[in-house]
Amino acid sequence: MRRCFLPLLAAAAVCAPSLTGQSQVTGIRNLNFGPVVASVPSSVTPSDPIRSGRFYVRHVLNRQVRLSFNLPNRLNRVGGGGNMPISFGATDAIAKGTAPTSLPVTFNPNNPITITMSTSADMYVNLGGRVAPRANQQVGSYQGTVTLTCTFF
Amino acid sequence: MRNTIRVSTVLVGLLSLAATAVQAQSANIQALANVYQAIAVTGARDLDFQVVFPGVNKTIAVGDATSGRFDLTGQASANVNVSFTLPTNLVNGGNNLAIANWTGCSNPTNTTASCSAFTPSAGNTARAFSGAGALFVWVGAQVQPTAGQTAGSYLGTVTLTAAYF
Amino acid sequence: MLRRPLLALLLAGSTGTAAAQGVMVAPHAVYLDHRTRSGAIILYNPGAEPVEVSISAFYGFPVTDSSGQFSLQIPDSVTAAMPSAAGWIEAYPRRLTLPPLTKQTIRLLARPPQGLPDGEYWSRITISAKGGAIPVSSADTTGIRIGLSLEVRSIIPLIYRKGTLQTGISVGPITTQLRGDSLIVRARLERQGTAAYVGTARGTLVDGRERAVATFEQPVAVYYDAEPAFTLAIGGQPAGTYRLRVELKSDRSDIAPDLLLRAAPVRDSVSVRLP
Repeated sequence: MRRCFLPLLAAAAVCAPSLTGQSQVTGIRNLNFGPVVASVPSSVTPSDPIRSGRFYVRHVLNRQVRLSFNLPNRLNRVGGGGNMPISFGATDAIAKGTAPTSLPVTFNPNNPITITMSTSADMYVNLGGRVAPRANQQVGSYQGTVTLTCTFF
Repeated sequence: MRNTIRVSTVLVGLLSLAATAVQAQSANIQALANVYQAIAVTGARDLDFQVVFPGVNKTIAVGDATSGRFDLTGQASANVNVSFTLPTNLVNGGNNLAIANWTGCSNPTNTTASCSAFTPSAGNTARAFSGAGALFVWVGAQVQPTAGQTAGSYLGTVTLTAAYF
Repeated sequence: MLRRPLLALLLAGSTGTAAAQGVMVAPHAVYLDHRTRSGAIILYNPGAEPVEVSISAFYGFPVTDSSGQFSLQIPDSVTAAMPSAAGWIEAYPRRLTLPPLTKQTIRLLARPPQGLPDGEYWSRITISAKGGAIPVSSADTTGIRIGLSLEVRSIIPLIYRKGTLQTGISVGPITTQLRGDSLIVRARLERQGTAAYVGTARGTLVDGRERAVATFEQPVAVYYDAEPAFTLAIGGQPAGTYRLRVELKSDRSDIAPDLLLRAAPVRDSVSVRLP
């Protein structure tokens, strides 16, 4: 009995992809608005090569991954003393595979999206956004956390 | 043997399910910004003389609806120096039209009522922003067209300089 | 009735109401250090018309006049003994046209001379903004038309630091003077240490029951010394003896805390008799 199971178990492990090893998501660049002026809204586009936020996602070719952002609606002043509104629009996220044939997929980061890794097994997900400092916004550094959760199918 | 096959089939099914089961991972980045307070000096309303007649001086007072107005914003209650570079003539090619008798007034609120009068000049006039960081400055002047003033467009520039500390 | 307009060159020298022109400038003060030797100014055109902008630098520092008002002291000539950074601060770009509702970052680079001693060096940055078009309008092309364009200039401080610097402030005797419904408060402030004192002066007038009845809060910048005048609105306060408490702290709500040199708070108080 036992001898019969072991080959079967090994075969199953080999045939099914090991998601633990192959699938990953990594934050590789902060969404950085840089200096912003009180009362002047400031945007970063997801295509901005320096200021946009960026994640790297690796999965398995022809499999699906669901991208779900947890986005802040305010940035908090470092050291306390207030916060600043931040928002994300319908075209503030772009996912693009790494293959030469990969096409960018623009989507709303406020809503989850499921993407099939059809041209490459990995992709970059860029994030833009918009801050709206108030006229009396206290000077200083502000920050908030953006979380990307990938569900690998 | 039959039992063995049955159990093995079930196990393979379970293992396949386990291997292909959905798996979630998360990663974080930071959203960052550095806020600066701004100062601003804005030419908010042109000094407008409207209809001008040759040989007839025309004066626009600071309280008139067509006086010039500059809007300044800065740090609440902060000091600011205001100075002016003013034309003595408006120019149309080789023709001049005299402009003189400049008047000025400032107020932390946007009204000329009870504003603080001063004479605009290249020298500094000390003022302070309101508790909300606002300051309004009005200017008036008198144009002095001669009786034989040549028709045309007479142009000039009024410059307000605001020095912050 | 028509004679005068016919004899005269009547005209509509109307400039109308032009769109507001100017730029927003941030931050309020630029701080550079010898390690990075660079900084930035952000310009924003909030108007509906393009604005021509130019950037320049000169040497000057704040002083107070006899009435306690701050003004800029601009020497006729800059000598080697003066801590001027104006000669070696460069702006990129120095001239630009800023379209409506757009931002532009101006890079400031310092090229200090070799062997610059440790210390603090000062400059003033002038940001000039001029509307792209002179607003002249008239329905009649035969008369006198007058167009006065408005140019605005903002002057902000630039401070360049090399080495480890300290600052502080000493406060001389506080004097008060009634002027109308205001109490004018003055005190001689002397900078201590090796760098300008940038902070905030706060005052509170308290009555016999320690209740605050009037306050002031005013940014101060003391490069050498100053005797500024602070104003407390005291209209309606009953006659009596009050206590005025004055505090100077090296904080400014318009300048990021990490840019300011820290100094110990200085406090003093004086008795005030209101008639």
